[in-house]
Amino acid sequence: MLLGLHIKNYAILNNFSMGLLAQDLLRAPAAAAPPAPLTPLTLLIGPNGSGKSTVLNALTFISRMLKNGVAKAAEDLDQKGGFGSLRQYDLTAPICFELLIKTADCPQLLAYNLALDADAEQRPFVLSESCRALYPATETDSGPDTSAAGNWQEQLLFSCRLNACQILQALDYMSKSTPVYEELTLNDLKRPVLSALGQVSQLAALRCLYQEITHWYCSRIEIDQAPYNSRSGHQQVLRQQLQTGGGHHHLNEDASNLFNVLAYLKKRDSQDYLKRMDQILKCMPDSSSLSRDLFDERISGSEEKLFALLLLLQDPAPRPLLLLENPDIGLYHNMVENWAAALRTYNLNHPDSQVIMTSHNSFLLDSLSPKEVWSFRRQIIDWPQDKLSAEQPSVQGPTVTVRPAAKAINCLALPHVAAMTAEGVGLGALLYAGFLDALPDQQDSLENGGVKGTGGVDECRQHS
Amino acid sequence: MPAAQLRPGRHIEVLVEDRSGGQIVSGLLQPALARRQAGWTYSIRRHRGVGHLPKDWQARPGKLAAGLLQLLPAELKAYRRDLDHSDLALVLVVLDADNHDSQELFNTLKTLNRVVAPELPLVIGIAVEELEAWLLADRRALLEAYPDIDTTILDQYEQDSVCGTWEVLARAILGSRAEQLIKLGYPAVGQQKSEWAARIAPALDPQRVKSPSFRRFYQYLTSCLDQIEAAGNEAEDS
Repeated sequence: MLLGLHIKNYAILNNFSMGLLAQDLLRAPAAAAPPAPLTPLTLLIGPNGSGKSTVLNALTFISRMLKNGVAKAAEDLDQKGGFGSLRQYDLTAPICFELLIKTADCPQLLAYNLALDADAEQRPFVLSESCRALYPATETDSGPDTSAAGNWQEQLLFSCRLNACQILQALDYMSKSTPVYEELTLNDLKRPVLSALGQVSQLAALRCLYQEITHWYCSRIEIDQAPYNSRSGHQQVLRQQLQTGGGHHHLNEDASNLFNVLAYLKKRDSQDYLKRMDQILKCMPDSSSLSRDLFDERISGSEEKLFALLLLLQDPAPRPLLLLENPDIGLYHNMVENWAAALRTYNLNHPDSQVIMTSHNSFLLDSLSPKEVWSFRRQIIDWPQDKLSAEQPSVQGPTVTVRPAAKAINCLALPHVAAMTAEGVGLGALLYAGFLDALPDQQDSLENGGVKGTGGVDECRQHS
Repeated sequence: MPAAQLRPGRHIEVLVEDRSGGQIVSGLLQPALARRQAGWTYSIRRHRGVGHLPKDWQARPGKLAAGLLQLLPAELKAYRRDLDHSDLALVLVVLDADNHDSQELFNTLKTLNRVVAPELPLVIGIAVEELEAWLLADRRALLEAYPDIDTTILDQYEQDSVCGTWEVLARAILGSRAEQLIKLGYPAVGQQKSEWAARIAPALDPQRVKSPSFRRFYQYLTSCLDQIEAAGNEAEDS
């Protein structure tokens, strides 16, 4: 479960945070209450270009770096202009990621930091990396409490900067004695150290963290727009896969291995398979054209998409995080409502599997509570000109320019949202009425100037 | 306005039926508030149409409820919850009477306020038939927005009469093309109203708007604002 993230210098994510971070828990008890963590179902809303997809892309990038190394992950980046154009704020500062994660198997919270830099040819490498375990200073019966700061401590598990790395000796994990760190020299800065440690370390926490992040799932399930004739060709290809490929336990990114997954589920446990298919078909509207065993060729592209999305929720070994970009696109409203209900059931059955999605759909919005929804805004901030250019600043001194920066705020923190939802006003209606807009539209009129006191307006005046 | 309802905040929440209503009220509020003591702000909360008041004012709104009157009891209760820890000074609800009796509607809303949220200061503005009646009441704004507007049609209009108000505005602005729009009906009509409101609203001056229904609303609103400011000054001086 991703509790919080902080990203710096990555596309429009200048100095961007969402949810709970390690420093929020480690602060003194007298400090303000820590921010709420990301919830198991999390929806990102906001205008186009406000950074929602960028957050999903960044998380996908981190997962791929751990799986395939930095170079390959950078090649596969879903970013215009590739890795070289990622740094839009500061061409010389590193790109930084910080995550706070609660894995299913490790009782401590894990804070993972990764910073990237690039060589003269814009080829990326790992500049620094670290992982800390966070645990309550005093044991409580009810388990760790993330709603109060001050009762938390940390232990460094490993940290590296360029080629120098230190790793905690396994015996000293969570022990009261002075910990001993082993010093190592790294040969390869193109792979995060967690990729290696996560597979061989005796520190179970690192193995859990590596398992967790490398099993994140990023979805690009789109509707097949091809005309009917070539679609039946597409169906043929899918059927062929049924005969050839085996062992597909999970749906892949674009659900092109749909038939393989069905075949695997059938082989694994045919009774269970029938039960799962029943549950899926119950959520498909008017699905008389579908048979339980095989797709009928008359199924429409959007029905196929809905089927894939429902199959995703039937995964018997659900991934720890599903990143879904606009899952509702192309789906009629009753399909969206059915899928939203299936999503909620999935969440209740698999509390350790988190879903983070983006959408503009008010039917989806209506099925969530405000603390599960984050409102994004693209604000314009002042930024020193010289950070954007590799050249020396001019003799007159640095000038200030403007840059867009993404900001997200939890909807429960927006004025009147908590009271409105408590009285039964739906999130869809609140969206339409403007209650979910993270920042005022017009800065110079009196309208909406009252969105103060949420920290939104003050935050946008801070520079990093 | 009862003294118990006076608050230190300076923010106004404005509930309207639709986008064009929001534009009209915004056009009237902006100059009115700008003239006053600094610090007033407002937010326009639009809805998808007006709907009907629910039978049970204490019940939660229906799923997917979206009309102004459908959500009004819940919204008033929500604002009431937030009174003590927000900037909220006043809530305005502005709608048109359509083909209902405006006095009856006004009384019903006043009762609603008293029953579900007695501590919440609520100012009610009801335009006769359509909110466009308030636009038709500011000739200079109309001419500024649409210099070629047909003034003979405007001269024939009887302010605040039930006569097909938006059609008058349509004919004055669009001339013969208005008939096509009238035949088309909603939602095309809603979009056009929004365009007219967007052009005319910035030119409105509440002190010029001659509509009796508007003047009633505006006078009461002004006196509430005066009262709130006076109470604020007193608190400062003491």
